[in-house]
This record gives sequence, structure tokens and C-alpha cells, in this order.
Amino acid sequence: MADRPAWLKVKAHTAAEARGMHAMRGVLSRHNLTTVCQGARCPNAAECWGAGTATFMLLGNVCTRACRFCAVPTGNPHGAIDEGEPARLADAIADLGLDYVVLTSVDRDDLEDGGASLFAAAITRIKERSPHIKIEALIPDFSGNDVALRTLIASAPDVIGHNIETIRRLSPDHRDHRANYDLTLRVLSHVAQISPGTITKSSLMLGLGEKRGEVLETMRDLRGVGVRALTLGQYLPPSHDAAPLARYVPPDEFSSLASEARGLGFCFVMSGPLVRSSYHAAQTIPACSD
Amino acid sequence: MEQDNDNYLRLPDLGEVDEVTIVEWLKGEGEGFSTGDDLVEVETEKTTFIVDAPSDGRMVRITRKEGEKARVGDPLAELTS
Repeated sequence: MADRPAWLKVKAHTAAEARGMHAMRGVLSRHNLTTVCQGARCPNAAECWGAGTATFMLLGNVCTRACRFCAVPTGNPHGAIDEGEPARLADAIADLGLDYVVLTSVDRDDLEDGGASLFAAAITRIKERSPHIKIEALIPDFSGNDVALRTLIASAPDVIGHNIETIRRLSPDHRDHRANYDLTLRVLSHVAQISPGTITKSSLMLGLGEKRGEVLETMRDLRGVGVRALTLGQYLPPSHDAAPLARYVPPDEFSSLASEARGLGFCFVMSGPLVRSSYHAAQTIPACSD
Repeated sequence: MEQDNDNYLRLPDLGEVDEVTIVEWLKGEGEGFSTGDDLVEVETEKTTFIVDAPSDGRMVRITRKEGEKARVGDPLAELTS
């Protein structure tokens, strides 16, 4: 491994963060739930868990797709779903007293609706249990299935995210062949059209070999379909088998791209080496409500 | 980070991390340190973590050398405080 630059080094957790992590693990285990923080081996897990926030992963921990940047195992769950998951998740979130949650899911190409109805049921159930909560749904593309997307939107999450992941040229190299750049733009565009009041959000990983002009083009494409919130972070290969790293992007480049993004009209921008798509997500709504 | 009462610096819980590699000791044996000083860098596939000093003290003996692996709770060095 190339020497990791100083800006990617993080302090081991504080005692408060340790207690937060311990509490979060207890709740997750009691309710048999999965977080992306665990699946993605996220470097910010201690910070976020210590602050009482987490990104929950629905519909199991096996994905039907095989994107090269991701650590989540690929497989075929053959249509299996856990009907009790929405209720357990709602109980866990109520137990934790969270006021902002990010929900996401693996891709479930084995299900006719891609898992949209269970995803929507979870959102509805969480709102019943925790009426004041704000919910960010980080959704898969549902294979472009418009009915599935409408099902999800009808459950009324406050923010809908769908990650474009990388620039147009590199998408075929790194994303599963069933996911693609234009499908992602189409999904985001449909969300903005169907539910103009919902904040739409997307995320790009940098360091895969993209050029600055290509990042700017992707930011313009996202704004062109109504996306209002953007995160940019350093790609970090989760294992030796994952897509190789092209380079470490210095913090000043992230800052400069953040300025460009604000200039393009994004109301929420998180851009930095350790930023992940859900990082400081609770700030999305305040930043975009004016 | 927390230290047990047995005068060992132990690998703290780093979140979703099973095992790390010791990259570099930032204080040598016999050296003194203050609370919060960086003591050692450890790395996983994705991240480099810096473990800092839980209290003022002195490094007595490094028990896990650079390049060696460690798991959460393993003693990395003996300290005095």
C-alpha cells in the first residue's frame, strides 16, 4: 500500500465515542440489524456512533450487484425478505432516540420491486414510532422501475439520495453493469419531478482516476436534474480485491471543488478526504431550507 | 481512549476494525509524554489511526513492534503514569 497521507490519519476514539459505539452495538445486536458503517468498514464509525448517528442497511447484507469499490458481499438472496425488519428498525431507532437517520439498502434485483415496498414500509413504521424524526433514504436505482420509485417516494422521506459514485467515463469500470451513469441521473430526475419538495442528494468518490473537468461535468449533470445536496470524498479501497486507488486527492482540491459546487447552486456540500455519503447528513435539511 | 489499570497501552476499540498493523511508534522506550500526545500509528486496509496517551507518563517497553499485528484489547506497550 502506498504511504497514506497525513490528512487521512484519524485519532483513535475518545472515551465518549467508545461508550456510544458500545451502546450502538448493543442495540444493533438486540434488534438483529445491520449498518453500512460496519459493512463498508467506514473510518468515521467511531465519530458517528459516538454522536448517536448511523446509517442503517435494509434488505439484508448481501447485494445482487458487484460494484468494484464496495465491500458488501455479492450474492443472490432468491427473493428472501425479512418482514419483521421495518418494525425492528423502528424499535431500534426509537430506543436510540435518534432525530435523523439515513436508511439505505443493498440492491435487490431478485425482487420485482427491488425492495421498494419494504424500504417504504420501514420509513412509514419509523415515522409512526418517532413522529419528529427526519429520514434520509439513500436508495438503489430499482432498475429504473418507476412504480417502485413512486412507492418509495409515497412514504415521504425528507431527503432522497442516490449516489452517482464516479464520473461518466469511469462508471463502466467500477459500477456493476446493471448500474450506469444515465440511469442514476434518470432516477434522480424522476424524484425531483414526482416530489419537488424532497431534497435530492448524490455522492461522488474521488481518487479513481477522474479529471477535474470530468468532476465538474458530473456536478453540472446532477444540478441539471435538480440535485441539491452533494458529497465528495476520497475513495479508499475496502480490500485488496477492490478497484485500485489512482491517487490521494489533497484537501485543497476538495475545498476548491466544494466552492465550485456551491457556485453551481448545491445548497448542501460536504467535501473532504474522509467525507462519506452520509457524513454529517443531519445538516442537509437545515442547509437546504430557506 | 482508555487504559486499563495494568499499566499497558492497549489497542482501543476503533469501530468496525478487527485487526491492525503497527505502522510507527511516535514515542520511544524511556521517553515521557503528556495526556493526548500521539503515541503510535496503526493502520487497517482503509484507515490510519493515531492512538494517543491516556494520561501523562513514560514509555517503559514496547511490546508490539512496527509491522506486527494487533487486535482490539491487545497490549501494545507498557507505560508508567
